[in-house]
Amino acid sequence: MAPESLAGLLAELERRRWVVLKGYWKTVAWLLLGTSLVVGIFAALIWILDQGLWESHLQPRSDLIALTLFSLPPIWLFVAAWAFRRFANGPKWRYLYRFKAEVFTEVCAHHFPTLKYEPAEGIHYTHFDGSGLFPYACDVYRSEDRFTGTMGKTTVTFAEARAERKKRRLTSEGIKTEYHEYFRGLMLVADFHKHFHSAVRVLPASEDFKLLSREQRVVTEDPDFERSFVVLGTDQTDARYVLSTSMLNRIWKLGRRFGKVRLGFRDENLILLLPRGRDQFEPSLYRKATSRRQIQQFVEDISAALELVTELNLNTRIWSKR
Amino acid sequence: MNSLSNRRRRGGQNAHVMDGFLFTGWLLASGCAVAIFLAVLGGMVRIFNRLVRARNACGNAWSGAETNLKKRHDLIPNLVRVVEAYADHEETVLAEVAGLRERASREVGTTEGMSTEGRLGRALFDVRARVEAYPQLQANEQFLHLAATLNEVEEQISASRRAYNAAVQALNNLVEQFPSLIVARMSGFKPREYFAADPVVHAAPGVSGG
Repeated sequence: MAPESLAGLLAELERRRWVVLKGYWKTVAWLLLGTSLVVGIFAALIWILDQGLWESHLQPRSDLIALTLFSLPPIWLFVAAWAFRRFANGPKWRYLYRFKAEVFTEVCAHHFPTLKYEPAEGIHYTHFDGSGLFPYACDVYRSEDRFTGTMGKTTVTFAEARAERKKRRLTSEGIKTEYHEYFRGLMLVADFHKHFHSAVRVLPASEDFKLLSREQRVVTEDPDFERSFVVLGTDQTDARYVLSTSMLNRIWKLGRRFGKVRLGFRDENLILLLPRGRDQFEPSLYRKATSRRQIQQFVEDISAALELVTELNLNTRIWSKR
Repeated sequence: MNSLSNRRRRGGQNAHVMDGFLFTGWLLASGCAVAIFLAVLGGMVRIFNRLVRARNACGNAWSGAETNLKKRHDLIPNLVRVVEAYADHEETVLAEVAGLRERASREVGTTEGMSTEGRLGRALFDVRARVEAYPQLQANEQFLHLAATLNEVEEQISASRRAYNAAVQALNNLVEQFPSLIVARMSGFKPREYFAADPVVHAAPGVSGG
């Protein structure tokens, strides 16, 4: 599965993984011990104050005891957070990033020579918001693990994306701001196989939608499709040109497989948002670096994304667009 | 005497009250009638406007279909010329295509024209099936470009037909359903014919469409 040239690197990463893993759990253990100690001191001070033991010879120092009591928890929290980040989480993420940058990049180049993998890059949020596939703009957006290249005759870019929206709620303690994740999954942008001039959106039928400027509802002839999706377009004929009867069927099958998929057709490109419950293209600290399963999963994730191009028949170029 | 004048006075007062009630009742009834009339009129105006929009949508969709049909007519002479240079034995089919193209160009917008377009589509499909026997023609750049353009135009015709049929369905629903059929009949709106599909695949043989 992995190219032979990676054997040495994987062995080195496995040694590094053990060091990181041991350091991680050691840090967690020390922090737990420290927390127990702090809790114990806190409880002891509370007991001392409660018993009034300070009355005798500690009375003049009651202020000091109170100061220690109330500043100990936040100080400890700050120290613990710093230590966790410095000694546990930091090394963990450095290891995982190195694995992606060195191993996954090589595996991608070996199995998919027409694709380039950039683990730290993503698709810009303007493409996500600009697609109009959600009725609101994101407040927090993250994208990573970008792949760019070609699949057959189709130019394709795909990456993981996550979008959150800020919501303010009035509670008894005042206004509370919360962030709700409304999309997590794969975003794919592909060069569509036909020339078209309008904008079309295909949204899940179960959700409310808002018509954008010059948009109309496009009612298709496929009853199965109409039950699952709603189509909005700026040109009735062009929307039907983009969404041929066979394309409607393909999109419907995609929806059956993946749930609430969303498609946007704009500027002769297709934008597909595919919800996924788990992070893709990620190695694990708890799996051996030399594990075949980990690399196999990565290759399967890429293949599944590229299969979308085939499922939507984007490589059929029998029209004037090549 | 006093009781008589009182009775007369009370009778006069009662008459005034009765007059007041009658007037108010008449006013209320007139107001209701006017409100109902305005509501019905408003409803009829709304329905009429919907019928006009539906009719205009049909017209717009049809003009799109005509444009695409004309594009197909314009491509055919080039296609026939290129195929003729390589496929000597296909004069009959090519002559049929050319003839149907002439006829379809004259009959655009008519019911006969729709039927002719259907036959033209089938004839073109026949030509594309036959050219598979001519590998030199299949490799010809001009032919490949024409074939790709023709595929595109056929898909656009199919899309126009679907858009037109959707607009016709919306119009026919308004013309035939109650209560809009009342306004439709008063205003002279009639149901329209659908643009029937060609019973043929509009892509090149052996290749699945978009």
